[in-house]
Amino acid sequence: MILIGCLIFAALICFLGGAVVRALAPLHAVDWAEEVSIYCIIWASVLSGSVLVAERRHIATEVVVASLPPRLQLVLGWGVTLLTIGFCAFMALYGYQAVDFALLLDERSASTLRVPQAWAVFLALPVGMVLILGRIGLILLEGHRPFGADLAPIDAAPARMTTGEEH
Amino acid sequence: AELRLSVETPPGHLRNRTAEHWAELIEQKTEGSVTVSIFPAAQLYKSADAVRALASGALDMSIQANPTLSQFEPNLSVLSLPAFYGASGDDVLELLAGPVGDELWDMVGRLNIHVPEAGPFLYAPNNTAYTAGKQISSYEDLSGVKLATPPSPIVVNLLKALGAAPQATPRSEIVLQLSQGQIDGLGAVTDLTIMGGKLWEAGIDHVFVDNAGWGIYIPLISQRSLDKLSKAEQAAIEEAWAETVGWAGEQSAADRAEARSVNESHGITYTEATPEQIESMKATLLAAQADIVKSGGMDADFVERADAALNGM
Amino acid sequence: MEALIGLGAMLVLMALGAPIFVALGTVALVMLGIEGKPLMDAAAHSVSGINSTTFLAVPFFVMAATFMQKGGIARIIIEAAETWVGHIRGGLGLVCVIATTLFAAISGSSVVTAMAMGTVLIPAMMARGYDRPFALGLVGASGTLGILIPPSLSMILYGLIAEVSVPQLFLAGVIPGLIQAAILATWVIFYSRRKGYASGSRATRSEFVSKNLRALPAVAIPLSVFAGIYSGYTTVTESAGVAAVASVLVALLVYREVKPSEVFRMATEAMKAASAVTFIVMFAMLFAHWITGSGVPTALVNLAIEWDLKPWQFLLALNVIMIVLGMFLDAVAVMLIVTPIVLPLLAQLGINPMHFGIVLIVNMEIAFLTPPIGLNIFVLSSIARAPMSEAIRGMLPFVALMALFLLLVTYIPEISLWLPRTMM
Ligand code: NA
Ligand code: NA
Repeated sequence: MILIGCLIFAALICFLGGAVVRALAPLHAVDWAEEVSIYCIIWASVLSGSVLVAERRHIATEVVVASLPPRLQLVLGWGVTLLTIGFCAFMALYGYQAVDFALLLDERSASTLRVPQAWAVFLALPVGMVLILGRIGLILLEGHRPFGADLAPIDAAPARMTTGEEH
Repeated sequence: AELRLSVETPPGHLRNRTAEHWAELIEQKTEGSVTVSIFPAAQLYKSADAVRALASGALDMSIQANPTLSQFEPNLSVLSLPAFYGASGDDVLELLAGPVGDELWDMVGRLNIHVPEAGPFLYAPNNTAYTAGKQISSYEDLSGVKLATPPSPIVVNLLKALGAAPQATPRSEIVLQLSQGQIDGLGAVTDLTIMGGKLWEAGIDHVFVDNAGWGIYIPLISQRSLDKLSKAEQAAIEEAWAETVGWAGEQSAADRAEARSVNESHGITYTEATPEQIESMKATLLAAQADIVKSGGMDADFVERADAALNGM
Repeated sequence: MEALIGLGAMLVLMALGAPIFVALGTVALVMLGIEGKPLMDAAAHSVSGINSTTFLAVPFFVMAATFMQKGGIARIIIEAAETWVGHIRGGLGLVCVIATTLFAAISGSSVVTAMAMGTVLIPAMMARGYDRPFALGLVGASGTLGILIPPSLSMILYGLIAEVSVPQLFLAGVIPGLIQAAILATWVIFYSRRKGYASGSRATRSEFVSKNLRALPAVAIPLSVFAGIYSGYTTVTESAGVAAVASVLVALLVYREVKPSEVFRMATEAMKAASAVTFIVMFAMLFAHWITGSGVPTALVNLAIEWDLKPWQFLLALNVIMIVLGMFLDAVAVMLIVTPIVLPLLAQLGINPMHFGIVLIVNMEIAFLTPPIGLNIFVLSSIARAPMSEAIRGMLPFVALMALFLLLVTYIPEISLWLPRTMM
């Protein structure tokens, strides 16, 4: 939670800082301010993924499901949960392979920082997916069902947020 | 086999026309056993993504410019170093056809990407400064001039060493910033960049012509895709490129001539750097170049070999 | 054939209630796997999709919007706008159209415009007894003005591909944008009459003055952003950052409706809202990547070309194809697929590429509103915490209006071409 907030502020400061330097002291302008703030936003986005799971705020279509009998809704909810677990697990795996591959290729960013893309960009996906899986695990342990179009979003009440387990 | 070729440029661009020519010859020579579908305008992959996809075998073919490839193989930036300023296109092609080229393509081979035997073709020489309302007639005039640059650590550091103020400006913002005077011009781009963007409309009216490194287009084939083809098919692809590269070279020379005359017809003044100016700039930048080579992740020995080969011509 | 199966599977998964990013991602992953592509490339492709400056603007604008909403800024702007049009029946709907048109002149993206305006206006409209589907549809449709009224990220992209001058393209969007706003405003008035929405009372002179004065610092935020972009001092993404900082400061220091201790939590909340969309965009791009590679979209457009159509038939057929593509693909993917294929034909048919650019942009606007994959639908149901079915129901009348507007823009090129011709 705290990390997500820090990242968006870091992105903002870095990006505007770069712009201010460019406007006021063009000779000292850097070519990487934007790039670094993009990294912050990418990481903030994927880290939010698991929080969104906890709050059931990943967007889904409930049009069809709403018209089905409750029993079937329950079955579908578990089906969707399994599908999501499978998808995130595969994405974590392939995302990990992508990190490995980018390291092998030694792909760098186009700025003078020459940031290895494996760490700055590609690692975000497997980490995000593993966090989602972890969060799903916690919810299952509590005996609840994490997904299903029949479930309403949970409001992030301040009390819940401080105990929100996220870092 | 059905191969997929991805480029970022729109149909009609030299790179796309070359790809079409190549694809047609491949189909002819293999009597249709290998077909190539071309995906233009980054429909399938953006530039760096394409290189990665070639390496993994997700994409079969592409034609890429040297700066993009240098994100993976920094030594391809060698053509942007001051040692290569002022070199003629023929010099560059000859150099790349020799042992220096072989070394480079081996480095690309490390990515599991094959460069056909007949090698790259020339796109256009970069010039250090295209400016709006400010004539640059020597390297001293560059001091403090704000130039939008393509994303390349080598180019940014070089422009800084020359005293200019390189600005990382997204391509889409260049016109607006130019017309509002936020930047003074563009650094290290080509006549074709100016013509393509109709940048005279945004005020570009002077060029300092110093041949600051050649842009080349390199044909690339995924080694994984190639290995799936028969020997005869592989040979047909090589042959098809060998017959394409000369045609592409001629087309590109015509495009360059056209770009210059179109730019001039829109009132852009060309100021040629003298050989003396270039020589004295090289001498002053020699020390800086070593640092730039190192921080850019390039191999200093390789750069030295390339330099020696070029100047030995 | 594979493409049809893939599309069908995606629709079924979505209908059964799978999170949209999972439905898109699963199908793309499975289909690419069947084609024998290395799947780590698919993983890399999905992250790579959000590795761009364009996406940077999204959380910044959402952050600005969050502070505008929670910090009372939006309420104050709306109150001021109401002193102008509030006494008309459906006044708040008109406020929505006017405010969104203004905001579109700051934001270059449809999603961001809908998001920023939606967070503020949907709760306000519901508080005044508007029905939610109508509110969602109105904000969604007005939000698409973000890419028609300059600045527009989509126009910049088209300009780059089609080699059309971007400043001219920007100008070409102004009049169509105003016409769209007028169409929406007309519909608001008509609909409000029919529904009998209450009209507010006319503001007294002193109310008028005090409310507008109070709104001045709030209005200064968009104005400063606007000035920054058009003077060339800030890029579009920078202006998003400036808007974020300015709204934090105004909420904190001028209106004092936000406590310093709340700033951090609100920024986090904004980032989370943006992420719900980012997740979908990541895998929508992967899905588009697969379907583009399958060659189906290209085949569709080629078919239209083969039939050797007259210009008006060609444009009609193309519009139909683009609307269909736009239902299933992200709007940007529609442009990336159609533009390169159609471009060489324009000269042949005597169609001005600038005019075609505007036709394309309007099609993209529609793509944001049409189910099953319409980013404005997703964004607004996320913001309003409303079921997607409601958002879709709300969008449909507006899709019809937009189709009408599309015909207008398609067959009267002067709507687009007059301003750039006169000004440049
Ligand atoms: Na806009
Ligand atoms: Na759609």
